[in-house]
Amino acid sequence: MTQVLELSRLVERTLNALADVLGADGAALMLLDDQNRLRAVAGSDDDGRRLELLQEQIGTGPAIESLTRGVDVAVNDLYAARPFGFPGLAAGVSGVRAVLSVPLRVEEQLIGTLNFYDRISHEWQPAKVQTGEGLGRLMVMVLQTLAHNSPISGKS
Amino acid sequence: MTHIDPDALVASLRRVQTSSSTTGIVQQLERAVGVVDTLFGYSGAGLMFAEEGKDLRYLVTTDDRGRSLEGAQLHLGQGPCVSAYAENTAVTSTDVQVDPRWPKLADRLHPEVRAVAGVPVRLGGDPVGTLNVYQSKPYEWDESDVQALYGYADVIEQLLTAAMAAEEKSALAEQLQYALDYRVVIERAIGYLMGKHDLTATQAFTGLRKQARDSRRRVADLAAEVLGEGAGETR
Repeated sequence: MTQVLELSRLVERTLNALADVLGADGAALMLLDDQNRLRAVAGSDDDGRRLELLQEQIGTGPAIESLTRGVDVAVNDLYAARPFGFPGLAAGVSGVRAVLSVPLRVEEQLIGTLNFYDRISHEWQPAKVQTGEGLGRLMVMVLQTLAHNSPISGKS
Repeated sequence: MTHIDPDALVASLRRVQTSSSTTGIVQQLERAVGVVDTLFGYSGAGLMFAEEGKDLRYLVTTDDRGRSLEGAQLHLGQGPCVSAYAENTAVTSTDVQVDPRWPKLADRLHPEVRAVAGVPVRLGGDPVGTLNVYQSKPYEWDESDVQALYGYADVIEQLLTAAMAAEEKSALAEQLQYALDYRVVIERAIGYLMGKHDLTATQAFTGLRKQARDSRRRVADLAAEVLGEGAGETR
């Protein structure tokens, strides 16, 4: 239990650091599990956690679109009408407006998405999207290192 | 309180474990510094480590110009990275070639190493090394540069901590020490290839690293092989 708590803290610290580097208000993580289910794994704060949990529940949102299409999904304002926003999701996470979801890959395989968010709507500049992709690679390195160095055997 | 679902995290890590091969911490650190270098868009980046009570040495550097930072600081026992490590805080220099804090550094530095910034990399709160970036022209580092560098250093700390999850700190130190030791072999191989094929250090190292990756070998092993062949030629 202590070890799992340490893993959780490490992932949360990583998310906080990545959000800081990008200058975003927060970051959150959705990953495919060993049964190929997309799971809301982590958020750097309550809003991030809610953003992912709601997507898991309603089956739509930038993280899910990013994973489905395998591309970056930059949403300037969640409240915008489809296809630019996700008004259904926005209603449940009023503290989040702009979202950037980048796909995470391990050896070419999609394993999930890293999501950055801001509390005000704004346009995601290409340089920031590119930085988000690089930060996604760092997230994958942390996950890989954890996966190969942690006692995580057993089935869910 | 964390904002994490521990069960989902463990189940997802299990998937990552099965879909990727094991990668050593040193290789991950190399990749991480490469990402930092790319994202910053500066001239180069490096990661220095200090064995307990010993000098700060480069574990990873993106190019040979930046490498001169280590040599100069090792020789003089001072410089921006040494200060960042010793004082456990960010240290920046607009132009290290004319910085009055380290007047003798310029003589030993590559002329294209100008603006330097370094932040400590910590484990358990204590500094174990520094993450450094440099520019080939004078540059006024601002607060956002330093904060971003701290953020990257934080991610590197999490990488190191993740690597320690199943190992003692001493085992991790052994791996890092191994990398530092074998770097000497790599540098000798680079020197040999430069002489034999009339290459720059960067070209020699890039070629060596590519060949190692293509043949799924460690750079150190390939370097040792190259040196073995070189020794055979001179006999």
